Amino acid sequence: MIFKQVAEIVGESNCLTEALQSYAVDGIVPKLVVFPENVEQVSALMKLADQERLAVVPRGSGTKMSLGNIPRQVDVVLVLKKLNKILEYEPDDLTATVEAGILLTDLQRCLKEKNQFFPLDPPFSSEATLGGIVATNSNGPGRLFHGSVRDLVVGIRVVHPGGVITRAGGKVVKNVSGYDMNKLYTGSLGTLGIITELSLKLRPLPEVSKTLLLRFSSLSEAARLVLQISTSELLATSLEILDSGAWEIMSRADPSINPGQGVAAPGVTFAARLEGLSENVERQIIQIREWGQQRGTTGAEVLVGDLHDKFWEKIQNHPQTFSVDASNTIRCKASLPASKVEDFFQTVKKIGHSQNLDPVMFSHAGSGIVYIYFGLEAVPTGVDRMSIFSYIIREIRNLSLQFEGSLVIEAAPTELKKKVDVWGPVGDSLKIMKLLKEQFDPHGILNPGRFIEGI
Amino acid sequence: MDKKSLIDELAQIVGVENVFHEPEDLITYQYDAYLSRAMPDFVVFPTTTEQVSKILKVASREKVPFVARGAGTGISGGAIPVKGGIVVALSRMNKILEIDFESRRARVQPGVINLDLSHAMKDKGFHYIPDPASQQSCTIGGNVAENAGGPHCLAYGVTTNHVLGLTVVLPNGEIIHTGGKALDYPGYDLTGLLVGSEGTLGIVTEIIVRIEHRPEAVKTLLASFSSMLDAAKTVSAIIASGTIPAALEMMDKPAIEAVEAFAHAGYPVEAAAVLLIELEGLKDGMDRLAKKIVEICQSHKAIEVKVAQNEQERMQLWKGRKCAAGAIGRICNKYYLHDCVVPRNKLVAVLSEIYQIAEKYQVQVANVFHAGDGNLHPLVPMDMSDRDQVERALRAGDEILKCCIQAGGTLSGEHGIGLEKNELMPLIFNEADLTAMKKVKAVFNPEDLCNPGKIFPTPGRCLEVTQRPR
Ligand SMILES: Cc1cc2nc3c(=O)[nH]c(=O)nc-3n(C[C@H](O)[C@H](O)[C@H](O)COP(=O)(O)OP(=O)(O)OC[C@H]3O[C@@H](n4cnc5c(N)ncnc54)[C@H](O)[C@@H]3O)c2cc1C
Repeated sequence: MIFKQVAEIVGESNCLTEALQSYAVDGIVPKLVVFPENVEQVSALMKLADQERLAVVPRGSGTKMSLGNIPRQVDVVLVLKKLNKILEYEPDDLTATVEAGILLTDLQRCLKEKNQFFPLDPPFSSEATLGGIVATNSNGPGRLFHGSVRDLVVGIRVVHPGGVITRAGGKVVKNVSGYDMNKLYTGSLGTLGIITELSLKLRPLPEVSKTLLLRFSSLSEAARLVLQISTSELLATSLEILDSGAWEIMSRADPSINPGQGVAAPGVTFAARLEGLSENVERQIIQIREWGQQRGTTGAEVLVGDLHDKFWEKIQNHPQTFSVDASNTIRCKASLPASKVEDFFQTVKKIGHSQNLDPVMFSHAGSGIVYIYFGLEAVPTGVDRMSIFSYIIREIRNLSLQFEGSLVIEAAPTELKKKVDVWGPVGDSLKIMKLLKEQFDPHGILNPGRFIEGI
Repeated sequence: MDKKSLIDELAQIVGVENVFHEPEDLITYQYDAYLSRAMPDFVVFPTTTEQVSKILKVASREKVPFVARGAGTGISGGAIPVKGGIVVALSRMNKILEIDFESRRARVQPGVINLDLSHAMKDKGFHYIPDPASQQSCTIGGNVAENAGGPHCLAYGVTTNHVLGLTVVLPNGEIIHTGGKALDYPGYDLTGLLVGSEGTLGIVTEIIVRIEHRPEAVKTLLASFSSMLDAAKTVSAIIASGTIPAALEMMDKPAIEAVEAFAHAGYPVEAAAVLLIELEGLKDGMDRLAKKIVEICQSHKAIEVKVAQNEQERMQLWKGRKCAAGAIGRICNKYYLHDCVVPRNKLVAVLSEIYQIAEKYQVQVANVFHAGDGNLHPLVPMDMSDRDQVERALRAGDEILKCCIQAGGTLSGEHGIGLEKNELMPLIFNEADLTAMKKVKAVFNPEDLCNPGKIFPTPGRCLEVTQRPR
């Protein structure tokens, strides 16, 4: 019945009704997967879904379906991948307008021809769609210098439950006409509407781009070096810290990223991405190296060209780099004031050790973002794994809150989600958020239950 | 509740000396820097979030409209109490609460003056980047409400890109906290939604902002051109060349002449346009970059390119830009200042059209603007004693706006919609777009007591254009 109505909208060839296991969200298999080809079809689908109270799960390439609490209901998975056109590209204005299903990598390839790029480097660089990146507020190491999704989206087109299509923002880089609705939809996990179009701010590609790696025997020196740089006149694009576990996985996967074995000694790895005019890249490498030496660095390495690209590709795609087996990994993201990274790192390690676990940790330290990876296998079978992990996560979350930050579980087995809220507390603005959800999705058809506090 | 009891209740909250209600005390609170006015019934001066909360509880209980006010430098009428009621003046909530250099954050009360924040960090070499031309008097709270910009926002972003957390008193008096010192928090980005909401969603009582180290080196260039269009082409060429200067400002002949008569900044009066270009960053490579910019200017027929050799010369070059609005105010008794934005590759076409429109309506137009962002500020002088001329100036202004929108632009780049452009919102947003915004308003401000009459079209409203010189 529903299938017939949906098929009338998008055509039978754009509906899947069988073998939908791979579209399941936390084990809940949808009844239907649809691939609309244009915004009108998305609108008609949203009208139908609202009338029939069908739970709709918007989806790009599906790289972040592990994000969120367990949905209450999944009826239709709405895949945006056929909305994948670049609608306008104005190199002389450094702006572009694209459909939401376009792959970031396809956009970047096109921009590169004009020596430009969209300055966002989120995980899943070759699969993620722009719509999914914006809906999940997915960022990367470059946010230190280039800003986050919220800083780079200037216009948006959204289809709401009931089928109404709206625009917000515009195509210009500066705009205060009316409320800044771009911000509302960014990071809303498709719970308010379906993003179908985005206008973006672009940047020219840097003249030169290089990496400086430094090895320290203590986390403390690496973390302080990051703060020394971020509070100086230097202008690093990214400042990272990798613990020994993270470095080991990276260098095992690709030994070439340590060409001179400069960072072979045990310890913590510091990485800076330096970009811009060749003169100031060289100057920053010299200066940071010197500061590193003053802090007792035990080894250094400069990466250029392919090696530089490879290194950052691995950092950017950390979920793929560090989850050897995705279904058996818990990935948490802490967001903290930058000065708290060192304390947080140390304390999380202690919490892990108290349970005989050694999480892999790395950090976009200049931005105060820390990722923590736990392998389920590290806990012997027979033990109640989920109880141990839910205990650990509560401890880490309390710590993040104590540091005025937050902790989100980005990926975890469904059993763990039954025990802990993946988002954590929202605070006293929750009521407003719930009212916004009611206004924009009165029947609660969009991603029900996956977002904060049951939204 | 009668007026007397309301005064008493407000006085209980903030102290009797912090409640104004006599007409002579209220007069200055009718205005901001827009061309309109309306009389409030009360002005109150809270000093804490709790006081603001109590005031709004009283207001919402008694259904009295209220408006937050910073320094009153807003240009779109945001702080004008069109429905009367209470003006909540935040000038005494002016404390810097915390500066965390390591995390690069500051926490401030809304009444802190923009420039004071940067001054407070000067010793440590830090500053707060958004720098509206009014930064000596406007407040951070007002900047948040208007999502203010400034010359240096080209490279570093406008207010919203620098605000990470807020404490807000909702119109019903409830206090909420959004965002924080870190970058990401679960839930909707209410901070982002509140910045630029022009005081219509609540009153902001605390703000967490990014602070940054000052750049090591600055280089300032002034390029002059014998045609406005050459200057505009140069702007497009600089952007297209892959260089994003820290600031890229433009002034045309009428503006240059006014500035020279007033400030003697050393701008060549024979030029039809000047570009003020500022490069910031590390000293290494700066000379090469400056040379590249000079070459772009020269290849677009610049008649002269001056490079400031020291801080004094740099300040001299900026002096003209910074006092431009004041200088033009001296040559006419009033002007209408627009704030539209166009894609940067349309600058040349739009500017030529703006001159044609001015000619058609026989009005003057001066342009002083943030060229690098495509944010135009056509400024149309008005002679208030000449009704016909005022009428032509306003009609020319409308046509200029429409021309910008036709070029893919928008109504306001930094001054806000307020009650100046609310009737024009349908030019860029359809009914559905506006309904989505109204849903947001319905959540925060369901009774429309908080800064009523702003942003959204209110059919049938007619405002008096006052005789106040500006
Ligand atoms: C000479 C001159 C130059 C200017 N240059 C620039 C410029 O370069 N760039 C630019 O962007 N603007 C500029 N402006 C406009 C103006 O200075 C800005 O809009 C500024 O942000 C307003 O700050 P304010 O403190 O004066 O706010 P006000 O005018 O007092 O208020 C503006 C709006 O903010 C609301 N508001 C104030 N405080 C709060 C609060 N705490 N919580 C909630 N709402 C609040 C008010 O209700 C009102 O709607 C200029 C103005 C002048 C007169």
